[in-house]
Amino acid sequence: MAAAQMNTELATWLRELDDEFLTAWANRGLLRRGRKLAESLPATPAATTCTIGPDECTATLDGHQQTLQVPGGFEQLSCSCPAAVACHHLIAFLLYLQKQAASVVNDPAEAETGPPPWLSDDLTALEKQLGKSYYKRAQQLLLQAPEIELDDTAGALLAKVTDNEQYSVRIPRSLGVRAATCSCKAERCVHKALAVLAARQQAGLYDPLADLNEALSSAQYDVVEQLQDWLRELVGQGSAGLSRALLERGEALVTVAKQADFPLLASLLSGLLERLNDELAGRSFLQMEQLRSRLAPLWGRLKALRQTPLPQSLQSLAGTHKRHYRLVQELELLVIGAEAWQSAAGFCGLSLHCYAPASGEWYRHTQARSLQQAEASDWSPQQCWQHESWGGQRFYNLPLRRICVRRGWQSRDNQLSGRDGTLIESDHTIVSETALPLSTDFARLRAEYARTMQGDPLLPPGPQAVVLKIARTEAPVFDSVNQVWSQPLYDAAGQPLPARLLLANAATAAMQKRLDRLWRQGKHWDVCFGWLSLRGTELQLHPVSLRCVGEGKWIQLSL
Amino acid sequence: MSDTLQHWLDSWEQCLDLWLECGAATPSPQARQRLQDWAELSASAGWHEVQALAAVLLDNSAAATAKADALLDLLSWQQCTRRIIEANQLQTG
Repeated sequence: MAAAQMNTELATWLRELDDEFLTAWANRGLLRRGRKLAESLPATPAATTCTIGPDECTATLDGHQQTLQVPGGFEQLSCSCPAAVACHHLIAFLLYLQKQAASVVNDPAEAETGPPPWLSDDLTALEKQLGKSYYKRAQQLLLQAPEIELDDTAGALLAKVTDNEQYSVRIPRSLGVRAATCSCKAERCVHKALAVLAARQQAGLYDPLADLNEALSSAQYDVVEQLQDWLRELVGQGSAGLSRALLERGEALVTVAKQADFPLLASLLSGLLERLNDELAGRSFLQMEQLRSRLAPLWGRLKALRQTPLPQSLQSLAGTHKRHYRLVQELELLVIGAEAWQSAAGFCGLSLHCYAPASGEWYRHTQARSLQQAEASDWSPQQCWQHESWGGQRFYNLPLRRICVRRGWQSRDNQLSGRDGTLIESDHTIVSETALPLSTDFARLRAEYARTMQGDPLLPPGPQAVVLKIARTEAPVFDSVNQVWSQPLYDAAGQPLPARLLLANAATAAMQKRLDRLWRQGKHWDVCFGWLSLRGTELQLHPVSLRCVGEGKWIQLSL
Repeated sequence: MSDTLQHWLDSWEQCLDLWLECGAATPSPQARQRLQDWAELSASAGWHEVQALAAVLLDNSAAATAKADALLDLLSWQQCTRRIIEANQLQTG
């Protein structure tokens, strides 16, 4: 059969196959090999082993037979080679057929004027193509307000679906779901089903509440109810009537919440219990502000989880497990600062803070030990800084370097692990000031921080990394009553922002001495990396590293 | 922030602290009186949602669960209001 007689639906699909589409189905390596093989094939069907028939297209490449059932789609492809799904033979076969499809002219009378396949009236067929179990799962997930970005382009429906990780779905207009791809690589998956249902919902063709009326599983509702009952009992008897039994039940609920995939609720409850335990054991006097600020976000989230559909995504209400690491490759970073720290919970560590210019996100790598472990093994953050390495690079060499994580592991909260197999390369040149994510306007910083606060008024934002350009500093002040050291900083417009250190341990005391010495030597801050946080209604900076006016070298304050 | 708003927010906070300490099930006479005063202040300022929650807490015939829910809701409202005001203050410098 001549190429001109190729099934027009198949020809349209073949023409839609660009590099991105083929990579989403296979991978870049297979695409490269497949293209090389395709380029070696003769240009005309008569001179190749390829046949284009009314029901199927076939070829024999490298001694293996390839088949594509009409009207096409990745699910209709097969190759006799040992590869499980995609192989470079099939890529070459598709690229060859694509060349033939270029000469096929669509009959204008057959041109699609109806709705795209994902908005088809035949919902039963769509459900079957997506897979019934995935379809049902997607129906429930849609009630959990997942983050789905849809882009209805001329050739396909493109969707970015966030479900712990972000997945990219592409559903071609020609063949629809049967030729769809997802970055999870599964033939059928919940992400494709979510993309279709979200598109239908957007078009007014699907009502998530029509088939289901509960966003969570019954086990999850049970946990929400247990947590609510516990809080009711707590505020019913008041802090004056605290009992050991109530707190023990609370501890058990922390585990229950984690198991129900509610890590944020578990963490909020754990923080609350820590304060209540201290109060009951007489270790510290319970400040009501601490109780209020921990109870409110927990109660607010539990009430939101009772609503259907959820008012915010399940991830933002209940959190996601952060310690699930996934492979990351070719991640370009600027290492901005290094920090030795000690926590109130009895840990010490060394953290490297990195900035990704491509995404504007912050990453960190941490080496930490419990204080007992550190003492027993003669480990310290300073010793780690001097003698240890990450992915083949010495820690002390990394600040202000441009690095590439060739291969590493990343958690959802951008923690980079140090596990074996991590490979980091550095070009050993110092990052220039122009490459830094400099904040020069302190009023704007305050406004941005305020907007983050307004986004979730029940849960104050955590510390935010920032690199400040400082125009002027004033003499440091030490508040001996509260053990707080501070130094006023100003931007070029004269807007103030105080740098503060709470002298809670030896590490911060050493930082204070270093900063005081700089002031006595007449050295003024020029650029500083640190953490922004709120104290009352004032924004403050916890400094980590800085560079003084007229000096090229950065000082890592805690090292 | 105006003095009136500051006073209303502060007295709301003090009220909640008294109730969180003695518990919604067994409020002290002082806690009840403070809440009564604050509820009247809220009603005159047009904050009927929070006034209704206070009324549940002050209702002797209300169920223990309803009272606990009302106290926790009042607390959530208060924390939200304070944070939004703080954010506005931060934004306006």
